[in-house]
Amino acid sequence: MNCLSVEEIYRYLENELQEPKRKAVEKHLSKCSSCSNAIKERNLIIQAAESLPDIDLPPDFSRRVLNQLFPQKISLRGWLAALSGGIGAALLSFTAYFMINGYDSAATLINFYRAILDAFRNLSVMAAKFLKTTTLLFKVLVKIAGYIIKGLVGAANLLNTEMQLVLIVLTFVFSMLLLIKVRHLMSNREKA
Amino acid sequence: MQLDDKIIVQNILNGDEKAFEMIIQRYQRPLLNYIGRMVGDHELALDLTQEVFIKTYSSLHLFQAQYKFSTWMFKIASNLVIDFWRKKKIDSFSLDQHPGFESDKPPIQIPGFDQPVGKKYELQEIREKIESTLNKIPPALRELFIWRHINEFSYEEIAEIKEMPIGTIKNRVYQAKELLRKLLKEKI
Repeated sequence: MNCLSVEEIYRYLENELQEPKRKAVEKHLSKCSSCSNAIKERNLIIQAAESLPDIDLPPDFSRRVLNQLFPQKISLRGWLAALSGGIGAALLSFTAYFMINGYDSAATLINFYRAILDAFRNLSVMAAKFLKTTTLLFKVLVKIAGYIIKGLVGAANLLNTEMQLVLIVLTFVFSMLLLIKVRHLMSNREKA
Repeated sequence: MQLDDKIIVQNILNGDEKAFEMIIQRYQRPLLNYIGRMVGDHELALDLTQEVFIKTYSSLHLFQAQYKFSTWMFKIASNLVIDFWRKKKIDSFSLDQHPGFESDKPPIQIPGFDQPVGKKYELQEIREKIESTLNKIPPALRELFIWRHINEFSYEEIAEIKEMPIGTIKNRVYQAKELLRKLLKEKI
């Protein structure tokens, strides 16, 4: 047998040679130091490659990926708690600061609190006005709805019994379709 | 006992999003070992590995159960690495152009009498030299070498990832190994 080709060397190393061929190669290797060295050399490189160390992986890597995929959602209650905590801490710091710095500072502190109270008072006036306007708007809407219903009842009286029945069925079908569509949209949103 | 990948995927698709953590735990090392050695930059490799997981998660519904999940995921990783090379404007992923390799057949060569790599260097030294030499192998060949000898995929799995005949894959892995051996010899 002639010396081995590169392909034969790798096929031999990967146990891919069929029995008669394999035996012939082994016989040749026992006589040919050149081929035997070639096998050893390539085998050593493969061994080294297969035992290369893993690349450093930060211990929090999977957490990082999960945070990217599923960002933590903070509830409204959480936001409010953080906000009230922040305001409370700020007020306490102000109080402590002015208490340490004496009477004049205390007067400034009183003025500061007064300004906050004024702001709240103004806000409550604005809220009352907003409430009044909303109530008025609601009353107008109720009246308009009343006129629409009256108009519809009048129109229905003009129709005979069969037509009224058809109208009721159509309205029912339309309402059901609307309901299904809304449910579908809501479930899509939940999935998103 | 380890839960089968396909069962985990089904659980995720049924709404158990957190089951994806098992996929990350299972594949983060092999993916990083592959991507890291393809791009040669640790931080970039971590970013790309993260991107592979994000892409995998967002396209889980496209996974077809007749394929192996690991090969499907490595296909995503491979495409991402190819995109990376393309953005770098390095045309090194063309499988048809490798200096010194004009066909899929490995060069027929009678082993010479030159000094074998292993005589001069011990295993640890060869490992270090392989790490620093890998980036000199064209990416298309390097990728196959890494999958075969670092990720330890079978030729069948590599053929599934690259959608190529097994024979072609084998020949290209031999080419990669020969090129690596020659480059290692140059370093000695």
